[in-house]
Amino acid sequence: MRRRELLKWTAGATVMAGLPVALVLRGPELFAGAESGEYTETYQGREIRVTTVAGEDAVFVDGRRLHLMKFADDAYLSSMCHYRMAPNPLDAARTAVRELRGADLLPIGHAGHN
Amino acid sequence: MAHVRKNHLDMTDRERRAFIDAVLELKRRGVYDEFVRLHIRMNSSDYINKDDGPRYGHINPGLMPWHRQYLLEFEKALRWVDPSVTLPYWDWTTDRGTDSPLWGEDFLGGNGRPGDGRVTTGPFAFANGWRINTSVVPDGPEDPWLEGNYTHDDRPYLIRDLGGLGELSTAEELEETLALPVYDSPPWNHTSGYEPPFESFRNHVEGYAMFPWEENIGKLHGSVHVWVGGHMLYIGSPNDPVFFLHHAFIDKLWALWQEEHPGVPHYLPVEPTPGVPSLHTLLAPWNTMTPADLVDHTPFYTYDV
Repeated sequence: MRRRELLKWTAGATVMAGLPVALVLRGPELFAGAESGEYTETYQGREIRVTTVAGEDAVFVDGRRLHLMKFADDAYLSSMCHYRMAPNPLDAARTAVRELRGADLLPIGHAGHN
Repeated sequence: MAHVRKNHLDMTDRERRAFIDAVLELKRRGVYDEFVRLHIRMNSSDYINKDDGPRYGHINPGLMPWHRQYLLEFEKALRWVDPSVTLPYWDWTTDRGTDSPLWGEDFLGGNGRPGDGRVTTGPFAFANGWRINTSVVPDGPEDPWLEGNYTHDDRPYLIRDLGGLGELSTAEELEETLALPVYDSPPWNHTSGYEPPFESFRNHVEGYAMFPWEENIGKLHGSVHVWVGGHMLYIGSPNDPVFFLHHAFIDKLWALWQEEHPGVPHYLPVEPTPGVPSLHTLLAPWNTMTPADLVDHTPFYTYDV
């Protein structure tokens, strides 16, 4: 079973349990390569990871990087929501997941692989 | 003689058909996708440079002249296919329904279907041949975003979500912005005109500035991208041909604002200014016209009303 299918199945199970979003908080010590604390969650069956790459805020959906543009501390755009601000990277990632409607982000070359 | 751009509601059936046919012909020839690509690239560099780097089309005073030229180039291509065609506009202050002829099967087609949001009716339905080709995947060693290549998704079909994510701005909201007497002001970006006396008609139209009594950033120009949803919400927004009717109306608003404020500079900054086009800066990527050449639209076309 592909990882994404597994995640979808897992999300279905949590919805049945009355929990629409499964949250998994991980401390920075588990991610030696990350510059600050990482956060991951499963949202609508997709794995969202919020982290920093080269000092920039970065979010990944199922391991693929979403292009994120920071306007201010509380204002972010992404390529999947380019005309309305998200208050933080996680919100931008969740919006992208809703917009993807099950589709995949395309890889963006070396910068997007992890 | 300058041609006339009309409200799409006032087009004849023949004019509607001719417009759609010309758009489809540009798509077949690959020209349409070049326009999409150009807009993505400009959007990319504009946002990367939003604070102080060179930007032309977004988050700076160049919004109005840059899109005026972008639409002129698109209209030129349409008229190369069919000299009778002009770019129609969509006045969303009065034409607000999902049942508008705008979304008719004989014009732009309807809303996306439930579930995946795929447009299934009209000339831009996937089943009728309209494919999304802007999934720009970089192959070089450079930072792909600096090349203007964005992450996108793997869906080849057009998506819409009419009214699913937000409300269209109202005629009243537009009136408040049209009343602002200053075209734009330092720092010439997404923060211009935030504070009283709100000296940025451009930023309030673009949607990144708001009045204290307004709730959300993203009004007017922005609200239309959000209201249509799907591709219009994404960085590849010109993939939905309604983009061009939306921006034709934004273009008309610049002309309307000029009429309402005859005694003020219709473009700012006049003097050379780092990062943004001044009145006499050639606009990239064409490098053929400056804001001064574009500030009056009547040498090129007129509006029906």
